Amino acid sequence: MDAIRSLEESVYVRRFVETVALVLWLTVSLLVSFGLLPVFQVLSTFSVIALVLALRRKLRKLLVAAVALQLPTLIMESISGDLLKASLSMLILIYLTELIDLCLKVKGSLDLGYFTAKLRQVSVVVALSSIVTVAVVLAATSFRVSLDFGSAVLLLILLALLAVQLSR
Amino acid sequence: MSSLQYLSQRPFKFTLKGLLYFALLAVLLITSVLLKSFRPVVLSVPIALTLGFSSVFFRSTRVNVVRAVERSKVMPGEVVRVELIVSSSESCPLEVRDTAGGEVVEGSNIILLNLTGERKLDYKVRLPRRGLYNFGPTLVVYSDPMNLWENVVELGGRSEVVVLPELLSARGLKLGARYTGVWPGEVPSRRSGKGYEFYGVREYVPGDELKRINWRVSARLSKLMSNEQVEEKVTDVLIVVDAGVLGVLNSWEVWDLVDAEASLAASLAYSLLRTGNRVGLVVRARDSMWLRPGFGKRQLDRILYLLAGLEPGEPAPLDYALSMLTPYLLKPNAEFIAITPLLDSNVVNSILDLSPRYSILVISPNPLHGKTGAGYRALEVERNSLIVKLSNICRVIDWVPGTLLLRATRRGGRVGGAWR
Repeated sequence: MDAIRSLEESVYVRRFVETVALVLWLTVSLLVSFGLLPVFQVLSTFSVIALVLALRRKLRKLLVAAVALQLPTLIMESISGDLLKASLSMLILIYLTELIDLCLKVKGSLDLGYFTAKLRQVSVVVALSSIVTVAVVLAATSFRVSLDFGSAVLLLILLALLAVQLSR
Repeated sequence: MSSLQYLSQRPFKFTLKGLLYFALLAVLLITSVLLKSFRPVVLSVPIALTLGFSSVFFRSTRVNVVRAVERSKVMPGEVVRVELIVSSSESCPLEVRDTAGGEVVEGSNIILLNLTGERKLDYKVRLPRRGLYNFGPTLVVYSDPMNLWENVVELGGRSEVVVLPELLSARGLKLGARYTGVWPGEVPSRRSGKGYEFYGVREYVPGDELKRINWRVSARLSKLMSNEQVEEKVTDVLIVVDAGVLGVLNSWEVWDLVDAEASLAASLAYSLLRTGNRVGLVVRARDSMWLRPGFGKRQLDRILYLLAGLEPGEPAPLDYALSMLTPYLLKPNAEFIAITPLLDSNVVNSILDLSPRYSILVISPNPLHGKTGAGYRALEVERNSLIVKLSNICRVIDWVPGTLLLRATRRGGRVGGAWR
């Protein structure tokens, strides 16, 4: 009986988190793509469709497609719009992706404790990141920091080296 | 119940998700370079920060896992319950993956849990066919909050469950060994004594049972005469299983055939050991193995264990197994039972060489029964000719797997359409 109650409880909690994440994703998509070219609005819509499909079909891989479809809109927003709004939108989308990924991962698992512990950890990580993001973006905007071609290539090479080292 | 010891710790591994986040960072940088604008790089700030903070929150703790498997010996198709007791001194969200042989039918062998103290988990596994099924090792996966990194700790306890071959009825199989041991059994010896078959008549001696008196002969000779029976004793038996059939048949046919051979050998061993005989085993399969003849439950366990793990091997001549091992394992004139599908003429030549020294019985499971097609037909013709050749020197039983062995025993040695 305890196991059944635990399962029911975890299903309700998971569905609630899924629904909230989906609604938030839709809202952020609308806010980011508002005022941009129709092609970006269409891409945002497709990202929501990918997200719904990921939840319906229980396919975690579709989350990659959802993020990829949302990315052009965010880049466009960062170029033509407010940098802080774009970076915070990116952070929220990462958070929502993580929540939905967690919901999909724990499907069928009896243990609600794992879900809540991970949820708490991810929330803390995103909250800390948001504080530092706001500070960094505001500082970068006020000091008018820019990136030249050479520095960008250097950063890319460093990133690639780090990825290769970490993936071993 | 087995306690699983800390076996090895794999190095920290970057997950696919982590690599995708890195790819996202790279995409943003490349976009910035292509657009000659600094602004898209700002989007990489929250990504880099979440990656960094997530890595900071990585935690792992020492976990102890104890696994208990309900039974270690089962029959094909049975369900086995596996219980895992996972314990840790600290609270930590982790993933436990227990390597399960067979198909999980209830519960799950992959469990996500926020471990605090001790947790008891269980799942049920169906073991569909004969074989040796391994449970373990148990993998405990620690990861950071966003699962970008993972650290897999392998707890090295393994539990083995043996799915025994199905036992068939092996009644009615008469052994013709001329070598017999000292203990009473079911093999007719060439001496008079206790038994069922008539041996002869001799003069009555005090102490003979009244029911043994042959009244008709006594009346004719005007003195009491007693019937004598053939004394039945135990013998030594060597069962040779030829499972070198890969490449001759399709893979599922090969496995069905080897399953049938294992069932037959197990049934014979069980039946012969139960009546006190000493039974040995030679297996020519993926791994060739042999067991010296012995008796009792332990020998049966050893034989069943070997047969449970029987896997088909490449076809190879039986010469070594038969001409070198047999004289070493089996006394002259004892019983030699060969279980072979007779798809290879070399087997017949090896058996022909042994025939003067042993009482030979060949039981041939027919893998071609009910098969249509020119290829199967050609194989069947070849097999029938081998059976005819062998039946001139020993008893051959052409057995269709899935049918009663007793029925095949009654028509032993007969080959061809009309006899089948």
